[in-house]
Amino acid sequence: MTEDTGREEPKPRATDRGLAPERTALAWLRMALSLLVVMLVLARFVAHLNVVLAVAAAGLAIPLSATVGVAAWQRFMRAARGFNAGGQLPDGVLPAALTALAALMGVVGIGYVLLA
Amino acid sequence: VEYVAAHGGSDDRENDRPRRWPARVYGVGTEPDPRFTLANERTFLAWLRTSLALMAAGVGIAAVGIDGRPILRYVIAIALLLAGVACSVAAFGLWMATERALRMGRPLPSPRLAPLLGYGLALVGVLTLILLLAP
Repeated sequence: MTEDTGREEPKPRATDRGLAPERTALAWLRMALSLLVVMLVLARFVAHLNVVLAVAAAGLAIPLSATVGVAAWQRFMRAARGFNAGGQLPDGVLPAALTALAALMGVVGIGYVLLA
Repeated sequence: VEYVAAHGGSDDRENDRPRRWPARVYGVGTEPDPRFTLANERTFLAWLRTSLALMAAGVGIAAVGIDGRPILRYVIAIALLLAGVACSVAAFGLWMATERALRMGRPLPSPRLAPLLGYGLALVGVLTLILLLAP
């Protein structure tokens, strides 16, 4: 028995292009979390070698991953606008910056293994 | 740039929009379906997270106290960390190449690092097994 209660399930509109911006924003947030965790783990191990360096790395990890989180949100807003209104999608500056940061972390890791 | 002119593309400059970086990507071709661009971005992030996981595994192997065979442990740790660095650099290269291919309507590049990474990780797994079983 169906009764019209005036409440309907939301239906995807014909113009709806899907949830790609949302999935991308979640991928960026996972990236921020991974960055935080790996940087803190790295800092923990570096503490065996040099406590000051480790504290500095841990202190840097929190604002850096927070910045990635904020940037993820801004990118999402921009991507959603570009997606629905034909605007510009975000460019390659943040991907390049994160790549450089990840490579730097790898080098720090190699330094730790060589010195430990 | 010639390509854009030839195809009457939607280059940022022509449409009076802010220029995007890198020009190597945004200077060619036309704007692809935004869903493809976003899928490319997610793939880049997945590669970068993989590189972080490799690095974490490398530091973990070096730091965890396993008795005996320090050389083998050392080799595994350095191999994982180098794989992580290679993976992060390759991630951005692949992102650029894919975005260019999308903009120019060409076939997507293949991730050349993927088979190397797969077989390499299998080897690291075997070495780790040796490390654990035959101290």
